[in-house]
Amino acid sequence: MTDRADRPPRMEVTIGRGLTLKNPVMAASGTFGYGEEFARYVDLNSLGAIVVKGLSLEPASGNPPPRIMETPCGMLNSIGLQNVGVKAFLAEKLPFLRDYDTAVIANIFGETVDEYARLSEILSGAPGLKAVEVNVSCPNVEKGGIAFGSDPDRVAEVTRAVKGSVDLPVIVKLSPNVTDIALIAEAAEGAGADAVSLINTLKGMSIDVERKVPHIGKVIGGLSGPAIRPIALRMVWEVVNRVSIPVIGIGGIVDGNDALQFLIAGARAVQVGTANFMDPMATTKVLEGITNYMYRHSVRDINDLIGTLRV
Amino acid sequence: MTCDSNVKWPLSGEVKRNRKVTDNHYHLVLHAGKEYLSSSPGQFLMIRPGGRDVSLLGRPMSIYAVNKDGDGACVEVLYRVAGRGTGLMAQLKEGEMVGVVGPLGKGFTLYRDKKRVVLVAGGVGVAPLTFLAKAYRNLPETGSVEVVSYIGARSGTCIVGKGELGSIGRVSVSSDDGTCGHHGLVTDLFAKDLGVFEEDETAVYACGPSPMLKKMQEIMRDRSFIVQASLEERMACGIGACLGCVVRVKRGGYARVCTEGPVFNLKEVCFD
Ligand SMILES: Cc1cc2nc3c(=O)[nH]c(=O)nc-3n(C[C@H](O)[C@H](O)[C@H](O)COP(=O)(O)OP(=O)(O)OC[C@H]3O[C@@H](n4cnc5c(N)ncnc54)[C@H](O)[C@@H]3O)c2cc1C
Ligand SMILES: Cc1cc2nc3c(=O)[nH]c(=O)nc-3n(C[C@H](O)[C@H](O)[C@H](O)COP(=O)(O)O)c2cc1C
Ligand code: FES
Repeated sequence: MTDRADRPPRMEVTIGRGLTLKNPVMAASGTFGYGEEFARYVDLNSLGAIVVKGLSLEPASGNPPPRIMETPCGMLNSIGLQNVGVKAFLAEKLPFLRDYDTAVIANIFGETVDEYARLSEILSGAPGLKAVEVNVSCPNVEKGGIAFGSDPDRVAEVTRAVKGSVDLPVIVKLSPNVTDIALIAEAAEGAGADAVSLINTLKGMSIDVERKVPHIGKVIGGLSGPAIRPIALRMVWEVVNRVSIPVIGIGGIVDGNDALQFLIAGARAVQVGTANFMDPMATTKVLEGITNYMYRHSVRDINDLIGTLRV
Repeated sequence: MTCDSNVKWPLSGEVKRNRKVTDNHYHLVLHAGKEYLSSSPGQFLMIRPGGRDVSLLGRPMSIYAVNKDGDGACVEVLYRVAGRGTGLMAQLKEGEMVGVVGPLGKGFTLYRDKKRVVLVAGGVGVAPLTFLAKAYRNLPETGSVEVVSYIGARSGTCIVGKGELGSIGRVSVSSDDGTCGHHGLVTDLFAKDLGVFEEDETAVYACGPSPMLKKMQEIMRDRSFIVQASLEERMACGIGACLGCVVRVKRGGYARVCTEGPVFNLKEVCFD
């Protein structure tokens, strides 16, 4: 059969063993709730995947307000990983998402290696769940509160613990608050991660000079949005050059052009975060932008575009 | 395959009018989808001025009025220029399209069995309360309900909505600088009259900045009035997803202002 120019391009991407997405556009953790909040605005069936809000063993109430502040081309947040807890997620949130034709991915975080392992065990075998994304940007209470994600050995330890406890593909989500993010990615790969996703938020701060108080209750927050895109893109580029597992690009993606930069740099898929707040239909628009580009450049298969940067 | 979405909610509105009403205060009228016709008083929308290329979160604005307009709805907002977002809103011109998401949140409860409704508004807090006063007026069975309003502002020139509420019931005005009405806080003006309202026959509604609502809470602490208040918090998504807009509540933990509110039973909220 011959390819007809008007036939829709192939959008399917494979993120490591056992995880195939219908297209490379995912909704990022913490910015898409549990999916249901967006069902009125976005056809959830059109998304490659939905990564749900970070889950912990027990429900967490989060940080005191104010929790958010808009900053130039972005925002600071200190939500403090407020969530319903893994059990309520399985009982109350997953059944809704399961009915959609999109990959549901659980994002998890813990304060000890054992917590990560127990979370993974609980999620193991949950019907409708396609993968686990491991947030390593949290303080490690056993190591004086230093983030797991800043130490390659701790990242390897957490990755091994999760891999050993769950029968799903494991994506390790990297923190950008490190000197050499590729080193951390290598550690995750070495410990058996099926893919890495990056970046999580960058640490930032903002002050109300009239009152001389921080704009964020916890003083320091996580910066996200278009302001971080060039940094995220640089980090994705560094990581794709050092690991051979799939890389998922995250950071400030608002439209198709932004997403294409990550794909051309070598990311196998992208996640859309803060843009969902600015426009609830952002994920749809990103996908439309990518598809239009493919028609325009006669790209028949998204995989022919990935990693095509000319340098 | 990709984008034949079944999305039911249009996410933009057309500016029909955007006029300055007094110092720093504007009245915006949008033509939007017919889903706004079901808006209830206290609900809000997220408005995102600035077009496609400006990176900006939506700004929450209470709905001031809604009317049928052709095949859609005419949605009105009363706003004060407070910073960058509202500054961009003030530049909106007739015919421009603006991003809007709504109607959002839980509005005020209308109590059909009360004899009297008392509204306490700080600044542009008058907007949702005017919508509420009209809703009470339009309830067929409550034609005799008395609506009493207290409006406060920084200065006499900032007082908005007096005429409209005045056509519905008695209005008392205060200003922080004494240039109009009572010299002082609107909560003090309200507190002076409190003795004349029967607790079980009166519903009290408040909307304004947090310090004002905190004062209201203190005044009402030992009384059994029903007090509903519309809260203000910074928001990112407005639809319950980011968990950024929370307030601490007495039952423990936090509640999202955008979805569990913005209207709360004032007695259940903690102002830290
Ligand atoms: C449910 C709800 C309904 C509202 N209804 C109205 C309304 O009808 N009319 C109106 O004029 N305003 C209303 N507000 C407040 C309005 O959203 C803010 O004034 C606006 O977001 C400020 O944006 P800005 O970019 O102009 O100011 P910024 O530059 O972001 O900030 C200027 C000042 O406003 C404060 N501020 C920022 N965001 C908010 C916020 N969400 N709530 C309160 N203060 C804020 C900041 O702390 C700062 O002091 C409402 C807020 C909420 C939560
Ligand atoms: C309000 C908010 C909450 C977030 N919550 C989580 C979370 O629970 N787990 C996680 O791994 N990342 C979380 N993130 C990080 C995002 O998933 C994403 O990595 C980051 O915001 C960068 O992408 P963006 O610029 O597109 O937003 C959160 C981000 C924001 C803005
Ligand atoms: S503004 Fe996002 S949860 Fe309320």
